[in-house]
Formats: sequence, C-alpha cells, structure tokens
Amino acid sequence: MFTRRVFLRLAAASAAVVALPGCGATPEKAPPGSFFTDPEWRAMNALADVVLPPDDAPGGSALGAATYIDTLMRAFDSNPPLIHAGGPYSGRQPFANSDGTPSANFPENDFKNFIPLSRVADRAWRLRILGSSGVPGGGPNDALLGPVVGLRDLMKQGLAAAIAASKDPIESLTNDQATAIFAQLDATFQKTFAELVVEAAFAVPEYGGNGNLAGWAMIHYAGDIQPLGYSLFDETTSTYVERVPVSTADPGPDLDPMDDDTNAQLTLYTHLLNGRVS
Amino acid sequence: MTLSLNAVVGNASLSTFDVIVIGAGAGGCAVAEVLTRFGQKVLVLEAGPNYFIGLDDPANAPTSVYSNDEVKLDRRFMLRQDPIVEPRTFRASESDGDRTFTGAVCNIPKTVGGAALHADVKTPRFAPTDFQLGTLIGGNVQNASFADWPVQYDALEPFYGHAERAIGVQGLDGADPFAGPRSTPYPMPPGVGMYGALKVANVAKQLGYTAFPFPTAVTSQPYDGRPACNDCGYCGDYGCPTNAKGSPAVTTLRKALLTGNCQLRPETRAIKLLVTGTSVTGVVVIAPDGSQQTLTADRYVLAATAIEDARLLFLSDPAGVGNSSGLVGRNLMFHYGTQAIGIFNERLHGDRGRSVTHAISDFRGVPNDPNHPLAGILELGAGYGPVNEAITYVENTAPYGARLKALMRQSPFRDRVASFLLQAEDAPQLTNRVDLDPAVVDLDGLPVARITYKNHPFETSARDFYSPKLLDLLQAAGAKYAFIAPADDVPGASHLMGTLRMGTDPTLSVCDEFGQFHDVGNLYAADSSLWPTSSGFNPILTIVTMATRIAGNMVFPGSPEKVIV
Repeated sequence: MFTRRVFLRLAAASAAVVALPGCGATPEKAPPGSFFTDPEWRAMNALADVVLPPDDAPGGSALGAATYIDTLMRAFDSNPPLIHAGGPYSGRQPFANSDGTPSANFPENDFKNFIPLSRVADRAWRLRILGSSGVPGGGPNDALLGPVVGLRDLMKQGLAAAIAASKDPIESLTNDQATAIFAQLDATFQKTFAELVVEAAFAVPEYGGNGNLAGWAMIHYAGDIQPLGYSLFDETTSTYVERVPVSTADPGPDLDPMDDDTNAQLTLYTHLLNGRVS
Repeated sequence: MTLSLNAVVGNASLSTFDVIVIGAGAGGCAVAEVLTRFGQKVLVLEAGPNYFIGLDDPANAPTSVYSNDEVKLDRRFMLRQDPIVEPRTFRASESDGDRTFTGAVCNIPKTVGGAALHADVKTPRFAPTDFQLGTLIGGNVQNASFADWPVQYDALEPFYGHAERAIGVQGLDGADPFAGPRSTPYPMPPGVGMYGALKVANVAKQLGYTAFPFPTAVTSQPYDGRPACNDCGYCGDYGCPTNAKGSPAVTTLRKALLTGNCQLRPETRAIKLLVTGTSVTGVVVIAPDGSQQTLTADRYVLAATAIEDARLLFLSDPAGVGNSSGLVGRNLMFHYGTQAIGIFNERLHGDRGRSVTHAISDFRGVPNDPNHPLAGILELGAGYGPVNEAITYVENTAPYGARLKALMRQSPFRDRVASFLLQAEDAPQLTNRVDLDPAVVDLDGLPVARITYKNHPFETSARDFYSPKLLDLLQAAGAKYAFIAPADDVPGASHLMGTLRMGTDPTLSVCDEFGQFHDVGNLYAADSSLWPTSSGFNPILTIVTMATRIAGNMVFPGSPEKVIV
C-alpha cells in the first residue's frame, strides 16, 4: 500500500491556494443541541468552504463538514458513542445473484448502528475529544508530556480566533478574504480542521458528511461497494466476471485529466525526491 | 446473535485449561486450532476487542462489523492501538536518551484476528536459503547477528502446505522461479489481477524479471464456508466484510472454537506472568471491566507480537523472564521497506481489487553475490481510498483551497498510482531491541514498550542498489512520474520479528526450535518473535507454519507432523 509518509520530509510551503470569489456559506443557525453557537456554526461553514471551495460541485459546507464535526464533538452524547459506524453493509449496494449479476435484494443499512467502544477506546476518544481536563484522571502521560488538548477546545479556540480576526461576519466575506483569515490561524487548528473537512467530504455519509454522496460523485468514486463488489464469482461456471474493469483499463474519456498545475506540482516533487519524469 | 466486543466466545463453561495462549493473531490461533483438535483445553486471551459475531456458531457463518469505511478503520483506530492511551516510544540508539518520539510506533492491529486481519494476507513461503543466513553470510556482515534457523525448509515444507490449506491460499504453482519445492498445490487458483499490477507485470519480462500472482490468503472461489472475494478494494489495512480474507479469526480460531475445547476472552490484557522457579504458575490479566484476575494453566504460549511478547516478559520481571541469555527483546527486526511510487497519466483504478495481486522475487537476491544483494519480494500495489488521499494532500501538497479540490478530482495519488514495496531482509542487530520505557505508561499505568532501532548498512545499501531498478520498472510500465519515497523516521513497519530468538544453544538464544523457552519449561512462543532472521518475504504464512509445528510438538513430542491435515 502507498503510505502517506511519502512526502513527510517535504515542506508544504509551496502549496498554492487559489482564491475564489464569494464562498456562499449559508448563514444558518446551529442545529438544536449543537456543541457550537450560531456564530461558530456560520464560521465553521465559511472555513469549510475555504478548505474545499464550492464551484460546479459542492464545497466543504454543502458537503456537510459542520455536521460531521459537530457529530464528532457530541459523540459521547449518544450510546454507543458516534465514533465507529457499524457494518458490514450500508444498503447502498445489493447482493449479487448466483451468476454474479446484481440482484434486487438490498441489505439493511448496518452503518447507521454505531459500534460500542472498548474500555481502551472509550478512554482514548474521551481524551481526544474532551481533553485531559474533561476526563477524570486525565491522560496517562500528562505529567511527562503535558495535558491532551481536546478537539472541542481546539475547535472552539480556532473558531473564536477566526471570528475575532474579522470586523464582519466571516460568512459575509469573499472566499479570498476568508482564506486570508484561515491562513493566519493556529497551524494545529488549520491542519486538524482541514482533515476533518476532507473526512466529512469523502467518508461514508453515516458520519454526517458527504451529503447525497456528492463528495464521491465529484471525484468519480463509487463509494462503499459491498456486498456487490467489483468482481463477481459466477458459481454456475466457476469463473470471475468483472462487473466493472478491475484487470483492464476503464473505457471512455478521463473526466478530469491531470492539468498543468498538477503536472507542475508533481514534477517539482519528483525532482525534490531525485525521481524521474518521463 | 449480537455484537459484543468482550463477551466470552466458545465454551464458556471451561474453567480449567491445559494451555493459555496470549494473543489471538496468526500464531496464537494456529496453536489453538491444533491443540483443541487433539483435546487440549485452551484459553485464548486477546487484549483487543472482538468485532465478529458468531465465531463459535456451528450453524451459520460468522459475520462482523467490518465494512468499506475508511474513517473507522484507518482514521479512528478501530483496529490499531490508540497512541493516546497506548503509545510506544522510539529512539534510534541509547545515545539519544530515553526516547525521541512517543506515539504510534509499529502500530499494528490489536483485535481478535490480530495483525493478519487487517493485512491483505500475502502469503509467500520463505525460500530454503532464508533459513541458513548464519552460515551463508553471517561472517561477512559486521555488527550484525545473522544466525541459521534451528529448523530448515525441508522440515517445514509439509507444514507450509498445511498452513496454506488452513487459511485458504490462492496462488499459481511454479510461477515464482525462486520459490522452494512444493509437495502440495495451492488450494485455490489466482483471483482477478489488478490493472496497474498487470501493466507492470507485462513489462517486467522485458527487463528480465518474472512477475507472478502473489500467493494470498484470500478466496478466489468458495472455500471452507467462505465466499469468493469480490474485489471491493478495502483489503490491505481493512477488515474483510465478507470473510473472503483468511483472517485467523474466521479460519483457525473458528475451528478451535467449534471443537468445544476452546474459550476466547477478548479485551483481556495479560500484564504479568507469575513465575516460580522454572515454571510459569499463572498470568495476571486486566479484564474488560478493568479488574485484575489471575488465570492458570499447565502451559503458556506467547503470541502477542515480537514487541508485546518481550514487553510482557519485562513487565513480569525487570530482568526479563527467561532471559539468562540476555537476549530477550534483542535482535528486533522489521522488513526494510523501500517504496517506489509511479504516477501514470491514465487512471489505474487501484481502488478496485485486493490491494496487491502480483509480485516479483528477482530482488530477493542471492547470498554473497554483490550483483544481487539480499533484499526481498517486491509487491506490485496500488493506491488507497479517497479520505486517505485527501489527507495526503492536506499534509503535504495542498493543505486547502481550489488546488486541493482539483487534486482530488484528478487523483494522482489514488486513481493513477502504481506503488511498489520491497520487503527487504533486515539485518538482526543486538542493539535493535524492545525494553520498557522508564517513564511513559499506558492507560493502566504500565510501562510501554520502547523501541530502540537503527538500520544497518546491510539493508540500506540494498535499498540503494535496487531503487534505480524499481524506477526503471515503473518507467517501462508507463509511469510519468517515478520516485522513491523517503524512509520512515519513526518505524512504521507491520512485520515485527525477533526479540525471542530461537536456537539450540541456550547462551545464544531464548527458545528452542519448538518455541519452548530454555529457562522456563512450560512457557512457549509461537509467533515471529522466534525468528533469527527476517527473510525477505511476508511473514504470515511462516507464522502459521511455525505455530502449527510448535503446537504439533506440544501434542506429539518429536512427531509434530502428525497434526498436519
């Protein structure tokens, strides 16, 4: 497997951020019971659109980033906590017939039934969300490494800083202006917030994001595919049938080929790693 | 039946045991399968939770809560131990001080099924010369501790065949020109190859290499009550939603549980072995509710990984149980991974398939041949899912904005990637070791494992030698961009070996060839902690093979082959 450590030693400073006009975050209220205040909710939506700006496809806000983050912040308001979605199937794909074709029989959505946490995982996630100050006894190594800063505190502090950085509500700013504010925020908040936004955009929707599966549609991704799968074993002939290409090339045009900016970026990194460009 | 992460599974009425196995992974489950088949009463302790339903149900195939979900399985530590409450520490050498890093070090799954559950279960056999590197190269490598295995390929070959049948391996007989002789065929033919791997395989021959279907414990047809794999793409790093993957939980452990002679206790952490004289008299555990209990049996088997086995021995005795040789915890080995990345103009749809479907053994090398230094098997792999792809961009290339969105649409790191991973021989070194961190603890206040590890020029020079050849191969296959990923600063390996070296001389080893401790007569190890060298091939099949032989000798001393089926 390709690991994320590929570029760990590279500076990210060269990453270009292209500003877009009007981010269009919806100035709505926080839902009842939300961990966030109305101003925080609006700021969160605006900043989600900084991470994934809307264009002809939804941005971070419309993809449900705020709901995803709020669900995580309030995970322990539910029992089981909303940390690990259930399984094995979401009900979005059917079972296969014995000849490998899709049937009309769809399983129940097991994903919506979240899984209990083990004793260890419960302690870990309470610490991760609530921080050492929110968990009796704190973290096991607080005295040595310092207290664990919880996601709740990190989000609240980051959003407060974003709100304080502008005279006008963030949701009223252009995406360029909101991006400038985001770029000045605490680096840990920036990274954590961006990671949560992309998780929201491209994860299974049971966590609160990826509304209408628009995140997957945007990137030409089929999403969770069980129990149907891609290659179907036909028990009547004892052969495999590839429902969509697995061993061969995809037919049809590439809907989003690599553009000049992507090629330039890959060329740069390949050279930095003493690699080869053909 | 409903999900319970920590309920007792199997014969809950058992209260006295012949054997306690610590760790429900590839080794521990194989031991349990053999012992229970021959009437031994076995208690299997697993520190992690159980995400299966009905492992002990004779009437229905087990199900699980594994699914096509990147968030829970890769982002939220459902399988791997959580570094907030169960960290490990790392330093390259003692001169670095107590530690240079605290967090996720070699963070493999801790759950019923063990690390094999999340792997895509690649199962090559070791080659015959892999067991003889002490003789073949030991004297030529300074500051390394190469040693021969006390058991050789010929003796293991029938057990390899047993292991392949037990977990259900697909493969193509005779396809790997460097493999040792086989007496039995692969139980299943190869499944569907992935497009990216096949592109590379097709050009490998032009460069003088032989690509072949990777032997893998994934069903390519209905097998032993499990369905054929349908190539969902969530294989490497994920639990299998259909049980097509030969996880120890649904293969060997299930068989053990169905005998009525086995009891599994998940979320039960062994924290101390009680030793009197030369015998273990009990094991102290933390039960799921946090209480401590002492459990007893006639014999005890360690199978909790090379790191956690050694940690438990040091938690039990600061000098290390069974450590008259001074070698407990030492000679820790990983496979030294060299990762080559190729990004293609065309989409390779690497999210469809079993993660890795083909391999090349030409880079394993030949002992003492400077033109073919020892490295390992080359995995021809793919990319990963969209969440992990997005995190890659956030962390490294485009932290936010329109460029991030463009990269996700164009998908150079998911949909256009062919990735190689060279699993190279890692020279054993006395200085690479596991001990207890002097200050960092886990959520129960117990000292965590500290990893002291630094690469030897043996493996780094092999990386330097083969890296250009990997780039040649990627370019020949059509990669527009090809590069070698930087090596890890902190070990992230999943293949953990050494720390309880086996051998014939008690002054130079911890255990004998049947895993029995030289110093403690009723204590055994049955995982890759025993291995004197790492080989250059994925470890799971050899773990199952060795564990089967070890258990066989526990049942039939001197005639372990009697357990082969």
